[in-house]
Formats: sequence, structure tokens, C-alpha cells
Amino acid sequence: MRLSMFDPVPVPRKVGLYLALKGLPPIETEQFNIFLGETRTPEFLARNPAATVPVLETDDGHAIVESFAIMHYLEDLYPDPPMRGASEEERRRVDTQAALAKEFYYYYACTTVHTTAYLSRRNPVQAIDLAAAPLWRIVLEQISHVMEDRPFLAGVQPTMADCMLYPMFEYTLAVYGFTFPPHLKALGRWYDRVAALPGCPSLLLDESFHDQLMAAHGRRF
Amino acid sequence: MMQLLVPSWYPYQCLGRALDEMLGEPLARAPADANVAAEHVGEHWQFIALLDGGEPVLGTTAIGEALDRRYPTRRIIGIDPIGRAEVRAHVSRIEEMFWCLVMADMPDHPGFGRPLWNDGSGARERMLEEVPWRMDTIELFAAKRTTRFLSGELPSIADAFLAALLNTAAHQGIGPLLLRPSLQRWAAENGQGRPFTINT
Ligand SMILES: N[C@@H](CCC(=O)N[C@@H](CS)C(=O)NCC(=O)O)C(=O)O
Repeated sequence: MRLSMFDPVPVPRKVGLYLALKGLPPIETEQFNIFLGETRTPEFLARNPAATVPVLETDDGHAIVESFAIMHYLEDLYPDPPMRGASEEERRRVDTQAALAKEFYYYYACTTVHTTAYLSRRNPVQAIDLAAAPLWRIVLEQISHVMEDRPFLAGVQPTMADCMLYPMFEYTLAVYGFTFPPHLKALGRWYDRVAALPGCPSLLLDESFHDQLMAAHGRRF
Repeated sequence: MMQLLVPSWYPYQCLGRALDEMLGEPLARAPADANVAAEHVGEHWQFIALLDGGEPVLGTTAIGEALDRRYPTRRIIGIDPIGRAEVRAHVSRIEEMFWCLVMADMPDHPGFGRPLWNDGSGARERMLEEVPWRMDTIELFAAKRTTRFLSGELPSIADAFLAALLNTAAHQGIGPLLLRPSLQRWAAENGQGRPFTINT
């Protein structure tokens, strides 16, 4: 198997965190810098016409795309240790939290492209924030509610759901100045708990990252 | 008994109907007052949810996964790991477009009850810009389709969510923005109650 990644950005990092916590033998990894157009070459587009990372290529030549599908694929192949719940009840909670995590980030990202200088290549319309901010806040509230007082999003062990959400905060805290809604205290503590897990990869953004991000997507006002 | 809680807002209604059509039998509906979100995020917000006694299953992908385990012979996420990855990838992309349409029409959401942006702000149009390039990827895939449905001879959750997406778009009067030739063929073959109802 071979994994196409770009380590600094959040969506591939979901799979990176998943692999680290799952403890599978290392998978050969290749980096594609999305800010330099490396996912838009004909070779890459043949792998994934949507031009996004991550992509997992199997030994028999299939390309698995979408972080969510990649994690499920690896769970289908290697059920142990379970990263999507050990019982039906836990499985449902993992799937619920994973679904909500993706929904949260999508609404948040759609807002952010219009409200941050670092991603404003599309004509920014600040008003989108009025509609989308309630949406991502509602979804975060729901995630926190479903977690109750468990240490991880779906139970006592980290699962795919934690891998779907943690990298989103890790990146948006560092790059867009995201802050946790202060009343969601349990979620803040959960974040610190995931960060402290053995093997949790830390996000290292050097100066060149910010230069490249700004050059590719940024707008100076 | 398994029940689907479907908020009355039309995008969710489109989803609920497409899931029924995919299964070939309507799922029982939870009473409208079973609002699983009311206590903590306010009575105006509802999530589409699957209820059967324990904690509610929320979110389209989670509902799809739970239905797959409940109806294993329907193969609604495909058969082998590669096929299942394909269906899940479609679903992951289709739901992003679905959320775009939801956001584009947020001012119509009954829970908010107030205009969310000013007329002429361009917010709706900017939101909708996120949709066509995503649809292109689905179209590319549909162009290579050799089976009746997107991934196989049985309807999967990818087909159901696609039907719901197209119906939501039709409701907003932007059906043509999404339909491409191969998707049009998919809709012609699998719409009109076979098994989906697709308005374009
Ligand atoms: N829904 C996709 C999203 C993948 C995605 O958007 N990846 C971004 C990086 S975070 C990307 O590759 N962007 C390519 C580009 O901007 O050119 C998934 O979960 O895999």
C-alpha cells in the first residue's frame, strides 16, 4: 500500500493520527504539496480526479479516496484493535461522532474561507458567517453532548471519531485562530487528552508553510 | 423498532424519502416531537436521526452505517472492502454538496425564523460555487459506470444521497447546476420510482 499525504494540513492528518493510534506497520508515504499544485499533475489526477490528499493506493492498484473511506477501509481489513467501537452501541456512537466531526469541519471551513485572510481567494462574503457559524456551533454542542463525561468522543478509548476531529482543531487553532466555545469545557479537556496520547503526531508548521499558504490562497487587505 | 426522525425542513425530507426508496420499504417515522436536539442546542434545531431505544444515531453517514448492519442482505454500502470504500467515498463527497445547499438556503430554515443575510449579499451564490466542481468528480465516476447504480446492481447509500441531493437542488430551482450527462442517465434509469423519485 502507498499513502499520498501532505503532512501539514488537517484532512490528511486524520489518517496520520488514525495510523499512529491504530498501530499498523508503517505504510509507504509520499508527500504532495497542495500549495505548489502537486496534486494537480496528470499522474496525481489519475489517482484522484478531485486532486485531494489523502489517497491510499492498494497493492492491486485501487485508489481509495476520502479520509473517511480510507479509515473505514483499513478497519474492514484490520479489525484489531477496533477503532470504530467494540460493541454495537459504541459503533453507533463512533459513527455519530465521526459524522458530526465531518459536518462541523465542513461548516467551519465554509465560513472560514470567507472570513480569514489566509483563504480568501474566493470573493469573500462575510455574511456567510451569519448562517454557517450557528451551524458549526450547534454541531460542536452536539458532539460535546454525545461525549458526555467519557474521556474520548465515543468511549474510554480513542477511535476513528477522535481522529476525524482532533486534526481539525489542531490546524485551525494554529492557523485561523480558532477558539473553543468556552462553555464546552469537556471538549477542551478532550483536546489536551488526545494531544497527550503516545504517538500523537505533533503539527509542525515552519515559516515556509505560512509563506506557501499565503502565496497559494491568501489575500492581503 | 427502528424509527427515522426526519425534521420537516425539505432537505431532510428529501433524505428520508431517498432512504425509504433505497430500502424498498418505508422506515417507520419517529413522532415529530421526538426532537433529540432540543435539550442542549435549542428546540428549533433538529438533526435527522435513527432511533431504536438506545442513543440516537445522528448524521447521514452514521445512519447509513447503522442501516447497513440492520439490513445486511441489501448491501447498501457494497460488498467487498474496495466496493465499500468506493460507496463511502461517494457519500463523503455528496454530503459536502448537500451541506452547501443547506447553507445556501439557511435563511429558509424554519428554526432560525429571521433573515440570515441581506438581500443582494451574494452569500447564497458564493456558497453554491462550492458545488459544481465537486459534482464534476461524481460525473467523472458516473461516466465510467458499468452497473445499474453508482457502485453495483443494488442501490447503495451513495445513490440514495445523490437522489436526495438532486431533489434538494430541484427544490431550490438549481437542479441543472448539478446534472451532467452521465448523471442525467443515472437519474433517468433509477428515477421515476425505480426505486428513486428524482425531480430535476
Ligand atoms: N473530503 C476530503 C477532503 C480532502 C481535502 O480537501 N484535502 C485537501 C487538504 S486538507 C486537499 O488535498 N486540497 C487540495 C488542494 O487544495 O489543491 C477527504 O476527507 O479526504
